[in-house]
Amino acid sequence: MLKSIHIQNFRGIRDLTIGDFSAVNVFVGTNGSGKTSVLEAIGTFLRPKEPWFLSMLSFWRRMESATEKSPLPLRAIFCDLRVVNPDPMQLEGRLDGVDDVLTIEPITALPTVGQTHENLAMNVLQLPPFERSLAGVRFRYRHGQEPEVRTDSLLREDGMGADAIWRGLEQLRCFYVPVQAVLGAELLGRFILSVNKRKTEAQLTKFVQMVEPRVRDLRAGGIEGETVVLADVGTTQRLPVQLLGDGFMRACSMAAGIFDGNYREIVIDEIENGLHFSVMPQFWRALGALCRKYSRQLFCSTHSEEMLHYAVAAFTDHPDELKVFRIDRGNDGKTTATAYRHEELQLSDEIHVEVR
Amino acid sequence: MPPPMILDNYRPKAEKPVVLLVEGRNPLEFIKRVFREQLNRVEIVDYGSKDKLSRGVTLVSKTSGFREYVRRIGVIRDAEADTRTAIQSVQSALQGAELPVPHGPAQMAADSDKMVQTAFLIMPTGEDSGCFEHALLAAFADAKTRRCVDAFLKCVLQPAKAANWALENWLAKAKVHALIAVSNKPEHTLGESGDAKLWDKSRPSLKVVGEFLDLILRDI
Repeated sequence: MLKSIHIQNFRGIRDLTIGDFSAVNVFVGTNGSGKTSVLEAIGTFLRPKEPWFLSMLSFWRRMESATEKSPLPLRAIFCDLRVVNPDPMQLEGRLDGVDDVLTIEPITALPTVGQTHENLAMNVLQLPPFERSLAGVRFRYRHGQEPEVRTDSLLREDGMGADAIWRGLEQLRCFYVPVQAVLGAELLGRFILSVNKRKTEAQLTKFVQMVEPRVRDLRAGGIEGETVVLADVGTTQRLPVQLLGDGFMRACSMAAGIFDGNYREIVIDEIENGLHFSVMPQFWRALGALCRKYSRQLFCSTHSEEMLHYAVAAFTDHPDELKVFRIDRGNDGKTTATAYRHEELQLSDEIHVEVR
Repeated sequence: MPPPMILDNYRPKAEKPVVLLVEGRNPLEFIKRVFREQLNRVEIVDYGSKDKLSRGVTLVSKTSGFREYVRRIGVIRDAEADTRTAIQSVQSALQGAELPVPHGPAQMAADSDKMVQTAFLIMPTGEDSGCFEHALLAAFADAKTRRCVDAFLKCVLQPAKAANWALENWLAKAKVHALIAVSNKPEHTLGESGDAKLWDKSRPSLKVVGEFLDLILRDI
């Protein structure tokens, strides 16, 4: 369980400590306050074994995937896009009672002919070109008092390379549900098969039925070399799950993360996306029960007043399991986090004081 | 539980330099209407009841932009049975929210860095037990209708229960409602009666509220 995180120079966050996480942690705040960056920092801290995750973060923000020729999406994780003498990017967290530190440093090179397109953009905008291009990143991870492990991940033509010498830290993984994307059929299929193996499909079905009550079960299989996930909704033919809508696919993605068994921390950006308000009360109750049963920890963001309201109602019997953090970016650019306990959230509902 | 309605207290950010915390919706509406001209730069928040005062003060102090925009906080609380207990509860709530703590009612306290100042008022007088409605009743002290309402409630309540502060508060609220009903529209709440020019702000018992607002607005 992640107890706290200290974020330094990650995206737009210069220095932010968030402490005393609960089982379910909801981040709120105005547009551009840094909620997604906080979730990304948590995801990055918990997934140091997967360097490509950094590139995916930008992809999920509708940038391209970072490649050797197009390093800008990877550069975007550094404060002010600075990769020459940058302020050190460090994520420190207390995980299962141990203090871990992940440091990410840029590896730079002189821009080559193939890497000019971000500089072309700078030219068009009449901004000074980048003197150095980003060639990759170096990860350094220290788990408690153990010796630091490190690896380099260089940008290649097809994305970020993972280094074979990156050993240890197998226990670190988290499941990330970005705001714009859901799991593709292939990945979802793999999760469904894993769930089938674990014989938790009945619970998975029950979870996704909150969003689509007609679903009787989900089955994954291959058709002409392609993985498909089909849902039995009582029609003569099973339907590809994509036809059941974005809300359903997001619920499937969340369920996959919870039931897969490989992930202890689940990160969900804009958890309300695709959910009708009427399912929110039971959705939160179900999430709370599953986190309890499977010892999962949830980090999510929301803009939705209803979602927050129903979260507060759903955790009335387990008030210590819910915490809300409002992320603010002050006029000075400084990011802060304000924590709210359940009893404060209840009162804010009652006397209508805005916490978002 | 239905989702909350969007009400006045909903603000994404603190926007006004002064926040006034008031105990209950009715006193809030009343103050808003009767002291309207003084409240342009004041955000009024209803903290519900005395049990919620501490959480209410903390919540307000955590509002987005609070440290940037808010310069003063005022708290109005009923004395109920004991003024000293009421004072201590406000002081403890302010202390819990890491705000400056005034020594007594209608006194201003400041941080060492003077970023936020606080003051509080205990109703009805800062010395006597009772509630907000006692101050309103006092404003009606010499009205003919007041004598009728007193007589009516005395009659209704016979045989009288043992006097205690809860009964006294109940009686004060009942009398205020009766006075509003006979002097204005019977369906009006206390808050709505504030629009009816029923209340004379210059009466000593109401003047304390106006003076308290002056205090928390001074030089703002």
